[in-house]
Amino acid sequence: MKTLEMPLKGDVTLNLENLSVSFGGLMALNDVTMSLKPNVWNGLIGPNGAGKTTLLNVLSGFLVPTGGSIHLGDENMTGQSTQNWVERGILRGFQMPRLLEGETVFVNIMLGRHRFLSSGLGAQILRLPQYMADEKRDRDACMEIAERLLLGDVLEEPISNLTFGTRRLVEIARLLAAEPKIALFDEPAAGMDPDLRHELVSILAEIQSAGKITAVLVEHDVDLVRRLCPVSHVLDAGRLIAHGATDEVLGLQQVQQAYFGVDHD
Amino acid sequence: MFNMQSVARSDGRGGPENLRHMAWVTGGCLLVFALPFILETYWLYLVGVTAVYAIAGLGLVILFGFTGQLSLAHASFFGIGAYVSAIGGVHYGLPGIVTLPIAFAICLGAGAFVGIFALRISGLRFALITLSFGELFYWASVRWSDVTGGEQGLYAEPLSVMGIDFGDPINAYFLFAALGLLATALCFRLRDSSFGRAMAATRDSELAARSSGVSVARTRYIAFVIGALFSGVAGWLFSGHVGAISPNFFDMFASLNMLVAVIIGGVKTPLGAWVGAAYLVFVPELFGMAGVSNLYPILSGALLVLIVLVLPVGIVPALQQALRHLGTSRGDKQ
Amino acid sequence: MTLDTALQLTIGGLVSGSLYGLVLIGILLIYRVSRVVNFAHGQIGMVAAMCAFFLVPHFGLPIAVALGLGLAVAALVSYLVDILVISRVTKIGSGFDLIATLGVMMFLTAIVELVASPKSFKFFSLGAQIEFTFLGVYFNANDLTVILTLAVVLGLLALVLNKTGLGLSIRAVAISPEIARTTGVNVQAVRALVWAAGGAIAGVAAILIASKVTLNAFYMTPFLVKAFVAGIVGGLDRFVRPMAIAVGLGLLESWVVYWLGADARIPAVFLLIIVVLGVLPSKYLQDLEQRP
Ligand SMILES: Nc1ncnc2c1ncn2[C@@H]1O[C@H](COP(=O)(O)OP(=O)(O)OP(=O)(O)O)[C@@H](O)[C@H]1O
Ligand SMILES: [Mg+2]
Repeated sequence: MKTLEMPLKGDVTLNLENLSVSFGGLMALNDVTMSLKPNVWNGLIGPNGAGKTTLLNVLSGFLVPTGGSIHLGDENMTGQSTQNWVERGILRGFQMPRLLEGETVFVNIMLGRHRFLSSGLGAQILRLPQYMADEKRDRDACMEIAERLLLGDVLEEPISNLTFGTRRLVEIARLLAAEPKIALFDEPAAGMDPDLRHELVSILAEIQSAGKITAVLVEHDVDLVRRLCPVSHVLDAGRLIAHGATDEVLGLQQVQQAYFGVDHD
Repeated sequence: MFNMQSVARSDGRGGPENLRHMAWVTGGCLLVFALPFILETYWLYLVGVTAVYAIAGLGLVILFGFTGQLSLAHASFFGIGAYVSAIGGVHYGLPGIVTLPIAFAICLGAGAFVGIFALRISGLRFALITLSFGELFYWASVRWSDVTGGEQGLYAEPLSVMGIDFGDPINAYFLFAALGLLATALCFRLRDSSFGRAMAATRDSELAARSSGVSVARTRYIAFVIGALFSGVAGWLFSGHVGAISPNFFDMFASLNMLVAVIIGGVKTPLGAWVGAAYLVFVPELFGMAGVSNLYPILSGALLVLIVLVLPVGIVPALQQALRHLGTSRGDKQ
Repeated sequence: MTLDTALQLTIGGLVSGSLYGLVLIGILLIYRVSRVVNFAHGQIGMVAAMCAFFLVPHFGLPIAVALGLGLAVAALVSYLVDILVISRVTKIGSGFDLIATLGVMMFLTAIVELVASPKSFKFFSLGAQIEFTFLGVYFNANDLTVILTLAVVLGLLALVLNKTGLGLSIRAVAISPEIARTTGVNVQAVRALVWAAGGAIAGVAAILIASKVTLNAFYMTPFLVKAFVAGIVGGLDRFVRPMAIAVGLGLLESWVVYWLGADARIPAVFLLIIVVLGVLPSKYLQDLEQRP
């Protein structure tokens, strides 16, 4: 895959400081501080309602935190628009795949390339060479990703014909087509049948071991987190209750208690 | 590989696909040139009206079909174009070549202004806010009777551009065909461009759009202004062609009619605007010829219900699907 | 301006606002159970008025009986619209329901135009000739009937919705037809009943409106538009707010007409909508499903 020159240069850390989000009285995130190191895959785990999705919403501009700050390197990202987050190569998936139901798989994946667009509307309509070259580049990139995610045979299918698992794949393909520097996955394997899930995990593992992108992976499947994420953060009721090397974190008593409801005493 | 080819198709380098495409275009051009020599003057006139409504309909295809914004002010922009042309001609003796850019500029301004209020909202609220602007326009066009002729409306001179008299049906026909084809080509290109994907994303999933870096508000805004311009130019053509205009061509029901037409034709495809326009113009005519014109309104309501039930995608996409099922796969990529 | 005038304007506004409210009630009820915005609602009501109007001279029926029959017909038409059209459309996809009700609206309009010929008629006066003055304010029995009808319909509705098993079922279906079904609610029956009741209430509204305007195939349109304005601005999934806006619209019109003349009515209403929808903070305008 060709890599493009994007504003985000190489290796910056995303720092979250004392982040809070409250909905009315409910603290969905409560004083969360963490730092996401470049090219490291971070597991984000915790029971239902712990605030995992809320954290992703904040890290993609969909929610403005009620307190705290986020810095990407030196840049203050707190409260920036979704567009600004995308521009910096920070891309998110959704817990329920969000797709263009009326369009084909190919168009859906191409949407991910939107951030690389350099031509105005006039150039697009007149099909100026610069735009056509961009289109070709984007098309090739999408084909490559589609092949990799086993979507090569359904590129011209409308989304409404797909199974749930395949829809998930299309969303992941869209995310990857955007060539994220930091990718935020919200339970990417949930609801997939075992075969597809297996495929997806090996694809993600491949990307992870290439070591070129940072990721946050929200996932309930602990084995999957173990396999993909050397580091993990645990949320419970909006608080960060543990973080560190995944194996250690998962062994901690308070994590087991919060997460598995296991009581050791 | 099959998929590679079918994806490559849309850039027009697909080998046999390309040939077929050429055949369609050539056939179409021949038909366009042959029509004025086949049809009688009155039918030619109706073809002109069809082209006018098709151009306005293309604006709705972009705004509603591509972007998902249901506008009830579409006939108002049509009205702005029509009034500028008629008022310019009647009150100031301006030729069409002058009123067209004026109509264009005023529609641009009006679209840009109304768009500001409408870009944040979608769905029914968007329909309501556009309806409100539409009602204000209608009110003003009735009230400001010194200029607009009030409820009676205005007679409009036939268009005359650079010495060519478009009161002549054949001249008018070629003008309308040229503008109609241009508008259609524009609409296709918009759809098959990056902006087309942004519009589709805005329509289908705001979340998907935003998470891919698409500015939903900007996309809606641009689509709205483009829709207004299409409708305005169509209105400019309309007044000279039809010869007399009055406010009821531009009220809420007119907007609804335009909407119904494109839905019947197929709201997501530019060709749907043509089929819808042809429906609007020719079906009442045929009922009249059969001496049962009073049955037309009932049929049009029932047909709308039927289409939504049986062919929710509209006539054009349904035909294309049928063609594809027949294994001929001649239809353009939808 | 005297107190009398102010009272008079308020009464006038209340009457037209009540009429908007009466049209709106059915729209809200139907939206509750089927999530459909019914553009045909006004014309379904019109069917009641038209039926009653033609039954009296043709069959020599007493007016009250004819009105009752008209309401029954409107209820039936509304029920049929749901069974034959709406319930089938919603399965196909969202957005089409709106267009389908638009088709039904055009269809009903055309039929009435065909049957009744596109002339205008004078409907029964329904008490408009009974006039009296109270505290210097002029009343007629028709105006009082309108306000009372709205109060009675609202009261009955509150009673049914909050105090009966049927009301519980309706509220359950409104929250989620699937869940309601699993708890043993006959969803289809509830839906049918609500559509029929909505049609009958539309009929009540249309009959009252007919007694105040000239009767033709389009007389419901401005009232339907105002009802929708109130519903959409106030929120179709709410009740009190849109109803209050409906009545408020009537009052606004009444005062605007007094201050600025009858010509100002339309711009006043629609400018207000533009301002409200144009400046309301986004969080009131965001649809629930658009939240991540
Ligand atoms: N837009 C919102 N408005 C109000 N409350 C919200 C909103 N979004 C989330 N919440 C609440 O915030 C809390 C955290 O929700 P969140 O979706 O982040 O949990 P989660 O960890 O992703 O859970 P799950 O594993 O079920 O996906 C929950 O109690 C939820 O109900
Ligand atoms: Mg979640």
